[in-house]
Amino acid sequence: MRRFSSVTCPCNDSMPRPTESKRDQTALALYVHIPFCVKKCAYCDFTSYAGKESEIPDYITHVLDEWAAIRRELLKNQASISTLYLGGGTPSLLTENQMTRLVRGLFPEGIDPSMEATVEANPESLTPSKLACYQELGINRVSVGIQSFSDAHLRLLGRLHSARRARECLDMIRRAGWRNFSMDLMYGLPGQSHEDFLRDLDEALGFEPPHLSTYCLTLSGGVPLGQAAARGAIHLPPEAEILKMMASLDKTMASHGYEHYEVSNFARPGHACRHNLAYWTLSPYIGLGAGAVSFFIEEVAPWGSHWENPGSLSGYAKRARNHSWAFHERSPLSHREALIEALLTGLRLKRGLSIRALAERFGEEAIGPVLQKAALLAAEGWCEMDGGSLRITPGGSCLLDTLVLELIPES
Amino acid sequence: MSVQKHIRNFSIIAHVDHGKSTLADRLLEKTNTVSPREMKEQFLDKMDLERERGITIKAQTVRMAYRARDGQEYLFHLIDTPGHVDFSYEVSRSLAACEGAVLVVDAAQGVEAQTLANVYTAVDQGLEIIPVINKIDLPSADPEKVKQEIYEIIGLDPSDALLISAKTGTGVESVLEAIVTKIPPPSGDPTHPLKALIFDSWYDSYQGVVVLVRIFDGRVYKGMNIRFMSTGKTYEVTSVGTFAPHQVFLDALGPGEVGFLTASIKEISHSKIGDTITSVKNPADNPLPGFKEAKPMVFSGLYPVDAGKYDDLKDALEKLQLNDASFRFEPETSLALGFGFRCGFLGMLHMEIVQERLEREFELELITTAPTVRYEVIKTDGEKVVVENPIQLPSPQKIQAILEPVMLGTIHIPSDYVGTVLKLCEERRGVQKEIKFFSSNRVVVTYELPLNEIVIDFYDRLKSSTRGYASFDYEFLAFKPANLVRLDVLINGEVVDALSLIVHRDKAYAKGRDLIKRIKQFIPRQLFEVAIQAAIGSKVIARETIKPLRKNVTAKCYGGDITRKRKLLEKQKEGKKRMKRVGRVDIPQDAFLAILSVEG
Repeated sequence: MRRFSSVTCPCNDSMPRPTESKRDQTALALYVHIPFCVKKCAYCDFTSYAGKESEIPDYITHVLDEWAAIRRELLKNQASISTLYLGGGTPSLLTENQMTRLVRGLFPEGIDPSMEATVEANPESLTPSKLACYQELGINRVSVGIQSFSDAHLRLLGRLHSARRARECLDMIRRAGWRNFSMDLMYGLPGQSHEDFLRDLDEALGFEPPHLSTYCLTLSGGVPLGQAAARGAIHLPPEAEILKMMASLDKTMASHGYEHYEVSNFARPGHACRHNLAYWTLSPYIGLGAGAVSFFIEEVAPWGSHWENPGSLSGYAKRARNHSWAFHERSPLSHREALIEALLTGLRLKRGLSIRALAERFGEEAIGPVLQKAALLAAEGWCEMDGGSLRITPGGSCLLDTLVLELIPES
Repeated sequence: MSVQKHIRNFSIIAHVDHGKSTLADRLLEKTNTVSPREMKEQFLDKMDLERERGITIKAQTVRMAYRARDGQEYLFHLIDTPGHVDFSYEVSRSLAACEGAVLVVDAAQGVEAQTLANVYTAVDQGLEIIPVINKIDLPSADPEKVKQEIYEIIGLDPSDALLISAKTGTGVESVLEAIVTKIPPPSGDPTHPLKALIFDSWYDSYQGVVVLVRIFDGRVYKGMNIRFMSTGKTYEVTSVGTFAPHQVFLDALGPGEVGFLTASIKEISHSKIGDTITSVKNPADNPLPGFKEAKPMVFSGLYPVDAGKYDDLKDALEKLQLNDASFRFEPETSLALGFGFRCGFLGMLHMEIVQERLEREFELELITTAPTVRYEVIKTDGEKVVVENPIQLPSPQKIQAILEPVMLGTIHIPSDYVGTVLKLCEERRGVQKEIKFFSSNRVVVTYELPLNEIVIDFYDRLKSSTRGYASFDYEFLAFKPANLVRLDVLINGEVVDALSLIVHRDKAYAKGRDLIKRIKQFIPRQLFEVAIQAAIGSKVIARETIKPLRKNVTAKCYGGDITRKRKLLEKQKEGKKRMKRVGRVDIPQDAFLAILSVEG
């Protein structure tokens, strides 16, 4: 079985090739979406519903049904799971009983200690007893949505916790002996200065998280905060200020011994998120739950195919009740689509993409134009090609999307 | 063969929307030329495009048999005319085929400038005019006021004006009777040498070119050898006939008759509108008067958005030209846009129609460069060159003088808007010739206007500044010298040929500044700084800078985001492919249209 050989740096050669897509060789990343929140945050456009906690028990049943169908019909009971990620929404909203039922249902024989098993949690709903329950279930990583240590910013974002609660929560996690935890921090917040962000970052680092995700606030037009920005009620920091934050973030994290292994993710050695790495290396993953997305390679779809579950609770319930995985509509990727996905995900990683693996998977001919373009961009310092890999330079990282657009081949 | 004195040849003259096509439809119905089953609304407007725009591009003709109140049967030839200023020459030839015209005026809107031009042409050609006031069923109809206008503006006796509603059919009989009693029968001698006026022609893939003719003298018949007098080309007639409204084949056409002939003609340019057809064996001494070569007045470059569609565009242009002798094109290369064609049009509407047909009928996506006019340049060595593309303008030191086409423009407006219109005309370097006030609160303003100043947005500005009340008509006057310069646009130091303009020196600075400001809005930030400059010769007169892109990165990209992001990238890549590249700068096609909205 091709397993990630190291935690921080799964070899690029692990990129599955069409000919190697035998099911028994598949190490799967498993994602479970918990689309429930007490209240929806003002910037959030994820699949999540507020005030529907009463539907959680049924929802867990549907997730378990879906998983059973996929195991039986798609995986032929043969896949091995390398990572589990319980994301949301707010997974910590689930009671201990609910969480136990879900995890035990997914892994009747328990979670293998070699697996990375993450649960997302929010400060307002995480309790010591929930943490204990997670440990008991074999969950070995917790990712907590701190976002900011400023009460004003937390309120603006529509978060339910205070800065004080955030600090208590992090202390609680550390006291409970979690060796692997992560926190989310946001920047580029309305009215936030470079100094404001440095204070937030400094405070975050004080808790010595092994992993830190930092997201620049991005607003879609449909969310309340996005509408407020559109009508000028709030003002995002100017681009120059955000670039300053990004530069300081890089510098500070490096000086604290973190590796900036992905656009928005930093890790102490050995603590990169293995589950998320699956997304960025075109490894197969199964997403369970409303709005969840899967990626899988089969003989009928050698470049892989995605499928996306219905986002609404009722739509998802309807599908899960079919008790058949065949009901999932797959969209197989073309060669070019798969190449684009390989570039847009792989170049997010600091280590970039292995040129050899790319060529083996997509063919020398298809890679040629990409490398030609890369050589031009490399001459201007946007990317580099040495040591057999193609990667974006620190100077190009803020322009990743533009550079990927340059690199992808024309149709 | 019909008796000449029972023939009536006439046109209907009307402003757009005043009901010409509806009246034509009623005439077809009342004479049982078209059965109700066949009757599609506005039968004569064949092409979709015409139907949509409510205008007629190609002249149509139809023969009708009408039994009049005097008990005799008359043969009517209704010769439809194109309805826009761009086609005024075609209109004049269609009118030359008639002895009379029915002038249709909307009972609510009154006389409009475009109508006037055609009415004056008809009067000049000695046609009998039957004034008809249409839409009398409208609540806003004011026939008395319109009668007064007909008298004051056109000088016709309004007491004869017929009051009708083509929509309901009211009064249509009186129009038919007036055609019989007021319009004289055609003259002409069947024994004289053949003189047939070409007033339209089109290409038919089965018959070759179909030529619409009005016979003035002699006869034309199948098997006859004919000569086109302006080109000297000779052909053997393969068929003659008429449209009633479907094609009907006849043995011959005689004096006064209107119909078609075919002669295995492959090139529409061999049968020029206004030319005279005569007999090879027994030729006429002189052609009919009034022949003018239809010359394109407005030029622009047409380029395929997708360079791979060049051959498709060429095929499409060739097909269009089969039916449009006034449309011209030749290959042209632009550094910015690649391979395309320089096209000549009669005017702006003609240009828009061609573009629309290319996009709609041939499904081509086009980039159109700013329309320009034809300049005559006298070089210092005395040589005269014609410039139809700004980039061909010789270098300033080699130019002795530049002459530009000047038009005589007639604008018809309610008196409230005189000030606005005079201001607009002055801004456009107009020279006032005449202002005529009529008691009916209407004013006719006549200006000499450089065509260069009216090809871009003049009509739109005129319409918007008069709340749509103005109507505008123009005709070519003369080439006149003017202080003109070429304004170039440079992007990162490279001249973008497709954005060059010839402008009056006094306006060059303002136009240059405005133009590059507009272009800037269309060019996305790139990985490097982009300088946009406006220059006259080597002198830069304005500059705008597009700062380089500094941040463009998606913060979150996990499972569900990947497909969305990929689709977005694919869309952006597709968009980029359609952009044109100058040096290293990708320029969206919209930037090339920025020129059209530059303030005069």
